[in-house]
Amino acid sequence: MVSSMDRTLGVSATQPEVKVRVRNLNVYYGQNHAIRDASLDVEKHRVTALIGPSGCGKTTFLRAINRMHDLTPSAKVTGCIEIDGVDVYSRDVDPIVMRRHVGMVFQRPNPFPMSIFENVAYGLRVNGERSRDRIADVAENSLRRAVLWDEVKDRLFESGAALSGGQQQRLCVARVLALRPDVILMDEPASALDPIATVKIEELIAQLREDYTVVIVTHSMAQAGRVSDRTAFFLDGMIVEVGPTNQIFTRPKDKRTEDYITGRFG
Amino acid sequence: MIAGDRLGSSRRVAGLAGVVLTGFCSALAAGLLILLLGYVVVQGWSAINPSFITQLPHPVGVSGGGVANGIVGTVIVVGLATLISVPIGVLTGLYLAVYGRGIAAELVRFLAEVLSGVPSIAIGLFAYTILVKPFAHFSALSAAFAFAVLMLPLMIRTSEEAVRGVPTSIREGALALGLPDYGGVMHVVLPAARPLIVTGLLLSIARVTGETAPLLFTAFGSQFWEVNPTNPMAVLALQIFTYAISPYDDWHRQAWGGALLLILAVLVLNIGARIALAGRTKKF
Repeated sequence: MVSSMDRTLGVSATQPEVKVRVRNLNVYYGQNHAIRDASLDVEKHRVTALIGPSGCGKTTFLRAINRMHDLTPSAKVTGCIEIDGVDVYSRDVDPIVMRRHVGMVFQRPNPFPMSIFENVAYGLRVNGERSRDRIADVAENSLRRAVLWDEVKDRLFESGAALSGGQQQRLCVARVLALRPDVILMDEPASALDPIATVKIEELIAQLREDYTVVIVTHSMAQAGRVSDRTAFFLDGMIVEVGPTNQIFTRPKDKRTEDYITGRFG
Repeated sequence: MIAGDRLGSSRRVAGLAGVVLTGFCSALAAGLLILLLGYVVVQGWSAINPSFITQLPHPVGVSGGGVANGIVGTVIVVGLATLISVPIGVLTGLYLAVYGRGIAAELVRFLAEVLSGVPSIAIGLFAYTILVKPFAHFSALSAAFAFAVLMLPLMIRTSEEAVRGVPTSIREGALALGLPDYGGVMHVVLPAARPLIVTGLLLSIARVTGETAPLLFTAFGSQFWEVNPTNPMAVLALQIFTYAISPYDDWHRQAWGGALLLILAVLVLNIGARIALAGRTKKF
């Protein structure tokens, strides 16, 4: 344990701060018990990968963090998810306000049916930003951060749907960055993309680590190995093992993790 | 073996008969439509000239004259009906698509389905009872109301399907960005559904443009220029009816001309609907 004295002395560099703390999370879809008693600490300014076979609950887990299950009437969530010590499921938290601080990038690029610029500006405007100059500034910065600016700067007012899949996905990242979230959740962000677009997204994720806390669900173990600092292995709705990515991949403690890593199932 | 075996002859005959029969019926259907369109064009073409489109009807016995007031009346009545039915239809469809679970939504869907089967003359009678009789005055507005009721079921259904067709991921994207759910739906989902909604709207307009029965006791018809919707008004479909049952050859000719105009209008609306659809496929 780290005492408060240690923290003030800067020991937090070796003992990273926990940004998202999940305790005893259970998610049910009707009778289906999709997440069973999962607990996880997501460290600040780190990329945490959630891996596991299809249907193991990693996406369900991810979507519990920003309360996307609120939309599904049959879904029930119990347990506790804290972001910076605040339980996102508590009565005092407005999910709409909370989601502004927890961005999400989806499996398939989902640009809004509007121009490239509007896609990025829209979130700002809806959240009360009135200054045109400021919106333009933030939009440009976000597009630059998402490594998309050079490709779209001459056609900002064309439809976002006209971009290639990889560009659309980076546009979706820019859209999220514009709101300066604390945490970015990514649900297999490269699964619908070709290899070159995948590389670009992965480079982008690596850069995001500096300012954001990223949780990424991925099917590809190679991708988890390339982009993540820590990895959690899911199986049948449970978290089997969590640890530094290189340790999970080279010296897994659990037999099931080892079986999965070495490709014996999934 | 694959090469050696052949299908039994009875099965081959049945297959061939199927092809012939379905093909024959398709040709028959297409042929009837072409015949109908051709007949209207042949009959109506001679009636259509600049004065037919720009002049008022002439009194019986005076040759010439046109249906200009009916064209304008059609635009006014259908336009008013659109103004009434679009907000109600689109928002109902939106509600059903996004929040439409449970008994209340099922009831709305069921009622819309029933409504789409109600004969237009019954709807006209209803409009007559609540909007004409109490005021003792025929009006274009009452016709617009009847048309709006006729348009509603189709508007509701196409809007619901259009909104359902928008990928959930777009709605979730808006939600994840911290938009209140209704905000995401109104600003993001609805625009994405717009091409299909416009298609549905154009088809509903095409559907009512040729409706005549409800007009008999609502718009009633008029020989004069009339743009005030609280007055009786000439409507093209109604003029066709009046002219067609008249004993005068000149009016018969004009009835065919009016029919041709209506068919052309519906054709344009249908082509517009296809273009709107094509716009959609480009977007997603």
